[in-house]
Amino acid sequence: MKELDLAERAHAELDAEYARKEFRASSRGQINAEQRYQELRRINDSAYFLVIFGTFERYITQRAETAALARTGKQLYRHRRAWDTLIVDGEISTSFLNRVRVILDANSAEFGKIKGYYKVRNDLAHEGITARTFSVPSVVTDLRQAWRKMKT
Amino acid sequence: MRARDRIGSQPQFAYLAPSASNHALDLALDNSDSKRIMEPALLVRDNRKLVYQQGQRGKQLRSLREADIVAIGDTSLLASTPSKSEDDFEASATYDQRLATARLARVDFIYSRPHAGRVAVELKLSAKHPSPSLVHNAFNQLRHAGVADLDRVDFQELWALTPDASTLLIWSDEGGEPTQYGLANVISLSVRSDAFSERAPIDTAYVQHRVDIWETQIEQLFQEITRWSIDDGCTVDSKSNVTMNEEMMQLFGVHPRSLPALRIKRSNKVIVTARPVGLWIIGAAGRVDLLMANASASLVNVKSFPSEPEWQMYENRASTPQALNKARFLNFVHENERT
Repeated sequence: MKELDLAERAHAELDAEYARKEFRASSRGQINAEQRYQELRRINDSAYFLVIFGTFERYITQRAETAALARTGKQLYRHRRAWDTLIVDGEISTSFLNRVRVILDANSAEFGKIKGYYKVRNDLAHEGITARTFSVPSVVTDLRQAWRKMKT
Repeated sequence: MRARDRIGSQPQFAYLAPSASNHALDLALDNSDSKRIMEPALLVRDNRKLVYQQGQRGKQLRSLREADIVAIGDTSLLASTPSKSEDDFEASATYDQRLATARLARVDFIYSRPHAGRVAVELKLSAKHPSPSLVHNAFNQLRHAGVADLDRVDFQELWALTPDASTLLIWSDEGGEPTQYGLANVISLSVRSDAFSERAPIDTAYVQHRVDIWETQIEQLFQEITRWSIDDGCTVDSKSNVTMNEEMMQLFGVHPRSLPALRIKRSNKVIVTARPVGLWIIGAAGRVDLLMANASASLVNVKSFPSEPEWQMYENRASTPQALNKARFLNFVHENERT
């Protein structure tokens, strides 16, 4: 999850820079500047949420594809017939949440969190800049925890 | 709640209940037909004006009154008199005959707009934004509905409600993008389909309660931080405040709330500010930021409502959260005060 780590660090560095400026503005009583940096931090959070979740989606696809391909190679049709439905031209071809289901129990709390973040990601992708507020480190923690539980 | 236009002993598909106040729309669609097990049932009661989401201002959905509803349900009969000329006897007789046995095939209800005609509405519950093909099919369904005379209907609309009844999208037959409304004060959501899960109603009182709880949690957290700081030889100024006016509050008409913010000082110089960022946070059940000249940290509540809060601290440089306590807080302050 090297790219995820990189994205997390990039977000943290930019957030730290804006936070320092926010503190400076607050100390000087510069209300407009303080609010501007708060807004920049919020936009930064939204943007990096998309980047981080997009990176996570790629990991999911890779692992789910590997898992499905390994099982479509079975000799007996009855052992591979369900797995065959996921693969088209050698690649996994199903919705994102189905890819998650291939490697994570859909009844788990982790799946529920991924589903929730996926919805946020879709809303963001359609709406653009949003009024939502994030805790990006919390999201990363949840994604990492889910990743640890995922099967091959 | 009362049923309207019962057809013999058949359960009603759609029925209305007059609101206790101001003729607000109480729209209940209840599919009691056991054959249609895939259709969810929904009761939506909106006692307030509907408001736009996403920054659009001012426009409200006109509240429908019971008297506006002309016909309801897939097997209801048109209740009003025909608009065709009474002079055309043969046509009227045929029309009346057809009217008497008219079926609204797959149309959920019809309402009349004052001075503007009648609108046939297809109502859908949709977990996500309806696709163009669903919209297209719904209007086809409306156009081909087995209404005796389609000229009894002047317009067609597709209404799509999200399962938590917080958003209503209305497409008109004139095409174009749907109009989006936020719904407030949803009293009850009674769902029968497996496609949606039953949940507690979201209304102004619920959102207000959440804000009250959050204010209490902030006060308790700041009392602890103040105690720790004073123990460490600092002074704490709690006179400043921030305004809480999150999207959920605006949607449900909850007044903005003033919350405290802290300025922690050593030798009369501000070394740390503590500011509530928000309650409805993606990834957490509330967030407070600690800012210093050269560092920052987020305190996040990791326990969902209605559990007692559990605060964890994400220092900006570290990605692993730590449970917030006095030692960790003071360690953060001391480390970054010196840099």
